Amino acid sequence: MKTRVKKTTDAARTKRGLLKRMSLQKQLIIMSMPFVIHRIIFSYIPLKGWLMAFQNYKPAYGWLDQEWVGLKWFKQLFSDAVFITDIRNTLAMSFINLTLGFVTAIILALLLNEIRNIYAKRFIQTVSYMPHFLSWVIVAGLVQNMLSTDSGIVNDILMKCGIADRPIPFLSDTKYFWGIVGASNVWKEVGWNTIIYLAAISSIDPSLYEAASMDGAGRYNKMLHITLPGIKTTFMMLLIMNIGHLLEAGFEIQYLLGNGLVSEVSETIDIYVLKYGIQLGNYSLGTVAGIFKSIVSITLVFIANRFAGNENKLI
Amino acid sequence: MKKTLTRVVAAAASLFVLGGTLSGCGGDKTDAGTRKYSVFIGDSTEEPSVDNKILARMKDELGCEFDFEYLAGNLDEKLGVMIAGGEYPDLVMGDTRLIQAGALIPLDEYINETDYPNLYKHLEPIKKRAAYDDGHIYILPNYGRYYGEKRDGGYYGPAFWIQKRVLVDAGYPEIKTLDEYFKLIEDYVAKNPTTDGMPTIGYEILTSPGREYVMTSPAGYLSGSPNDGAVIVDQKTYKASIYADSPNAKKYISMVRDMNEKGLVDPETFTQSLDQYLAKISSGRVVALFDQRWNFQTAETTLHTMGHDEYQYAPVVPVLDEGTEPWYRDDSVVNAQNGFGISTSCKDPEGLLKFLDSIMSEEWQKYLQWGEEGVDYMVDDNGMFYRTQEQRDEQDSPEWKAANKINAFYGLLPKIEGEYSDGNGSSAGYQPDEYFAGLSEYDQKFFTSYGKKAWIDFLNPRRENPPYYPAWQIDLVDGSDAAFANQKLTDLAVTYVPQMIMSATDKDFESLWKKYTDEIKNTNVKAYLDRINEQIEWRIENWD
Repeated sequence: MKTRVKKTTDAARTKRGLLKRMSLQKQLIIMSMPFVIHRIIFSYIPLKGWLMAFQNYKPAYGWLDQEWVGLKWFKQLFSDAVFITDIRNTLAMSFINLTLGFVTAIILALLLNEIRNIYAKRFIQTVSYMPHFLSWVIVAGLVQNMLSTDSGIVNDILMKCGIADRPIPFLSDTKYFWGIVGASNVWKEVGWNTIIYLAAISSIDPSLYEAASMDGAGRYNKMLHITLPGIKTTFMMLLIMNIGHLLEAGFEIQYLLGNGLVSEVSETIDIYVLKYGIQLGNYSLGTVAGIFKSIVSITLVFIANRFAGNENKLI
Repeated sequence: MKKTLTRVVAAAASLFVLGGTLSGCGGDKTDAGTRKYSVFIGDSTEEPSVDNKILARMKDELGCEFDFEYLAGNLDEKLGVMIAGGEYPDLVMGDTRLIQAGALIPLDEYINETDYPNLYKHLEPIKKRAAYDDGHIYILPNYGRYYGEKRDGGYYGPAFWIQKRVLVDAGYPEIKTLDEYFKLIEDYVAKNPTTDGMPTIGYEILTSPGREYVMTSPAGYLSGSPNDGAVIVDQKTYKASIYADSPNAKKYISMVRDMNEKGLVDPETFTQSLDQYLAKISSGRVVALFDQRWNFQTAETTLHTMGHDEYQYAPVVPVLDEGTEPWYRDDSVVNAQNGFGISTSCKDPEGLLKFLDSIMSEEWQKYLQWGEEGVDYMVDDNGMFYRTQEQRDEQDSPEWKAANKINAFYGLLPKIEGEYSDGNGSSAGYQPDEYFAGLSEYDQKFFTSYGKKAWIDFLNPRRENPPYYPAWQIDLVDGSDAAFANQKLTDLAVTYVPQMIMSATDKDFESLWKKYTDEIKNTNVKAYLDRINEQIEWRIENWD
C-alpha cells in the first residue's frame, strides 16, 4: 500500500502508469467487482428514494409525478418534540450498549483467557454465546416474564429476600428502561462479542508472556501490560465501526418492551420511522428521518477515524 | 472436484425450482384446471385446515383454489410494507390506504346485472355508502347489508363488560351509572379475592398498538355519544369535537385512578400485549373491562370450551350522569371500506368476481352459514332450520371448525345477513328460537332470571342512526395533517392517561392532566376536526 508511482508532469505518462497499475492488479480488480456491483445495486441506486423527502409522496403516482414540497418535511421533523426525544433516547441507549458491550466483552475475554482447563473454557464460552442466536422476540418475552409484577421471578426473589415489600413495576417505570435494555443486550451479546477478542489474544506472541514472567510479572500485570495492549488494535477498529452505528440503538427490544408508560424513554429513531413512515403511510417524513440517520452516522465514522490516530485508521 | 461441481449445480437447480413454485400465483391456471388466487387476511384467528370441507367444495364446484396469507403482527405495518413494495395478493383485505395507493380496482366498473346478478343485487341498495370519496366502490363491505327482517341476538360492539358470576352474585341488578358499575366490581373482588387460586383482577385496560380505543373511547360513550371514534358529534348542528380533554374524560380517568388506588386495576395492564390481555381474560380472573366484543371474543370462546360460562361477560351500558341516555348499541351500519378488494396485481379479476357472485347465492350462503342440511343443521316441518345439541356443540369445537368452517376468510367476504327468501334467519344467530336454544344452560338461566331473550336486550334500545353516522369510518387520508394530528392525539393519550391512572397524589394527577391538555392544544386538532366535519357535511348531503 505504501508504494506510490513516482509523480511526473507528463499527463499521458500518468495515465499510462495508471493503466499499467490496473493491469498488474487485474485479478484483484476482477475479484472485487461483484462486491462493487452489489454495493451499487443495493446501496447507491436506492438513494434515488431520497427524492421522497422533498415530495409529498403518494404511492399511487410515479417517481416524478409527485408534488414537490421543498424542505417541508425537514422542518416538520425537527420541530417535532417527539423526534428530538427519540434522538436523545437513541443516543443514550446506544451509548449504554456500546460501553457496557465493550467493557463486559473484554472482561469476559480476559477471564476466559486465564482459564487453563480447556473444557471448562469451551463450556463457558459456548453457554455465554448461545443467547446470541435467540431472536429478540424471544428475549423480550423472557425479559417480560422475568420482570412481571405478577409472579415474575425477579420480583419473587426480591420479595422473598425482603428487599422489596411489593412488586416493582420494572416495565412501566421510565427509570428502569434503559438499564433493562442495556442488561438484555449484555446477556444476549456478551459471549458473541468475546470471540473476536479471544482470537486477538491468541495471536499475541507467547514469548512476551514468558519474558514478563522472567521479569517477575504476575497474572494481573501480564493482563494489564501484555494482553490489553495486544488487543488494542482490534478494540479500536471495532470501536470505530460501532460508532458508525451509534444511531442504531436497536429497534426490536425497544419496540417489544416499550409501552405507553415508558414511551418517553423507549422510542428510538427507528420506531419513529416505522410509526410515521410505514404505519401512517407518511413515507416522506420517514425518509427524512432516515436521511438524518445516514448523514449523522457517516459523519461520526469520519470523526472517530480522525481521532483514532494513524496506526488505527480504517479509511 | 467434479463431485463438488455436481452438488453446486444440483443446489442451484433446486433453488430455481423452489423459486418457480413460490412465485406462481395471480389467477394462474393450476394443473387441475382450477384457478388459484392469493388472499391476504388481516387476522390470524381460526385458520382453516388443509382438508377443509368448504375449500374442497369451492375447488370442485367453482374451480377456485386459494393461497391464504394471515396477518402476523401489526396490520398498519403490513399494509405499509405491501404498498412500499407495490405487489399485492389477488384478493386483499381492503383498506383506504390501499385505495389511495392505487392498489385496488374499482369494482363498480365491473359489476353489472347480467354478469354478476347476486353481487349487483347485494350492492345496489348500499352503493352510495359503500363508495369511497371518489364515488367508486373498491371494497365489498363484509357486514351491514341486511336482507328481510333483522333478528339478531348477539352483540359484538362496544360496552362495559362484567362477568356473569358478578351479576348473579349481586342478584341480577340493573346498572345505570359508572359509579354503580365500579362499586359492583369493588364489592365482588372484596368478597372473592382469588379465582381458581390466582388473584382476581378487578378491571383491565388494553393499550396495545392499534387497540388504543379500549383506553381512549369510554369517555364518549359515558357522555351518551354513539360510536363516533375520537369525536363527539353534536346531534343538532352535526359539528364534531374531540372529547379527549373534556371534563367527562377527566372524570372517567380519575374514577379509574380511584379504582387503581384500591388495587382493583391490573398493575400490568398498560405493559401487556393483546395476546397477554386475551390470555388473562381466558384465565377467568378478569372481572370487568371496557372493549368491543369482537376484540376479546376468542377469549370468551376459550372460557366456554373450558366449561366456565360464569366467567364470560355480560354487557352493561353505564353513563356518567344519570340523566344521560346511553347510546352504545347502534342501528346496523354498512361496514364501508372493510372487507375484500381485488388488487391491481390480480390477472383475472373477472374470475374472482364470478367466484364472489357464486358464493353470494342463497344456496352457497346457507352452506357457508348453516352448513350442510342433515349434517350440520336440520329442517323442521315448517321448513325452519334448527340444530341438534350435538350439532350445536360441534360449532364450538376449534378442531371441528378448522375442518368444516372458513371463518377467517368468511368474515371478510360479503354476506347475506338478516333472512333468506324462505324466512329462515341468515345464520343461527339470526334465528331467534335457535339462538336461544343454542345458548348454554347457564346462559338460558341467566337470561330467564333477567327476563331477557338475547344479548342485545341488555343494551340500550335500538336508536336510529344519525344521517352522517358513523364518524369512525371517516378516512383521514394517509400522510395528511389530519392523520398526523390523529396519531399525535393517540400517542399523547397512550403516554399520559396511564400515568394519570397510576399517579400517586392528587397533585401529580392534576399536573399531568394540565400537561396532557396543554399538549393537546399544541397539536393541530383543527386539521383533524376540519377533515371530519367536511366529511360529515358531505355525507349528509350525498347519502340518502
